[in-house]
Amino acid sequence: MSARPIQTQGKLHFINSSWHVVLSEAHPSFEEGMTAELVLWDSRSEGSRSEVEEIARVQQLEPAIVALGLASEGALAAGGFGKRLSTLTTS
Amino acid sequence: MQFLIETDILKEYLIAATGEETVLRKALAAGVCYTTMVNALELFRACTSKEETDTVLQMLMVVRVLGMNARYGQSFAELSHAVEKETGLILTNREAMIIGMAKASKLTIVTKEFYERYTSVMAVPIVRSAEEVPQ
Repeated sequence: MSARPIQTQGKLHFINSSWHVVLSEAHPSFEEGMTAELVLWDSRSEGSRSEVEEIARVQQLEPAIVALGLASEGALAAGGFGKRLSTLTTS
Repeated sequence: MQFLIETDILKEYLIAATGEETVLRKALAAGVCYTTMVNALELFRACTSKEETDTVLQMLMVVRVLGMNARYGQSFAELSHAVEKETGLILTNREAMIIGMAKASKLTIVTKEFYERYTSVMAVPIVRSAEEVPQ
């Protein structure tokens, strides 16, 4: 993937279709030629930019994909998700 | 280092309180993280709203999900037989699939909830956090 993300006001704009494979895998509705706009991180993410980028480097993944995943940390703190899940994981 | 992240660690990540240091985040910094289709199934089954489903999908972008190939049926069963003969334990199908995948893919399982059980099985490396991995 040779495309480089351009950061603009906390969002990443991808203007190269070489992201198509990754994005269409993550979002089946994504079509080649579309401009993807992914939130870099939100207020729930504790990761600093440098940490996000370091993890991306280690994982050899593009930063935005990693950042999108990291934004899910703590996102389900409220509600009964954890309790429901516990009932499903008994070995 | 390559890890197989168990459901309890993924759950901890999803429901972490603000500022809490999660095991998954540390594992992501220490190596490449995988989970299995079984763990993903459990996560999605626990979802009762689109928001929850979308959040799980987002998390799985940083944890690669390993699928269950048909050829694993025989090899996982053979591993289970060997473990059960060696330890006297009887594995559940869930355990056979998770441990079998870790063995087949040469992964270290990361779990707190199943640590004691998996350790007693003695088939694959088990840690409770990335810091426990021998350097």
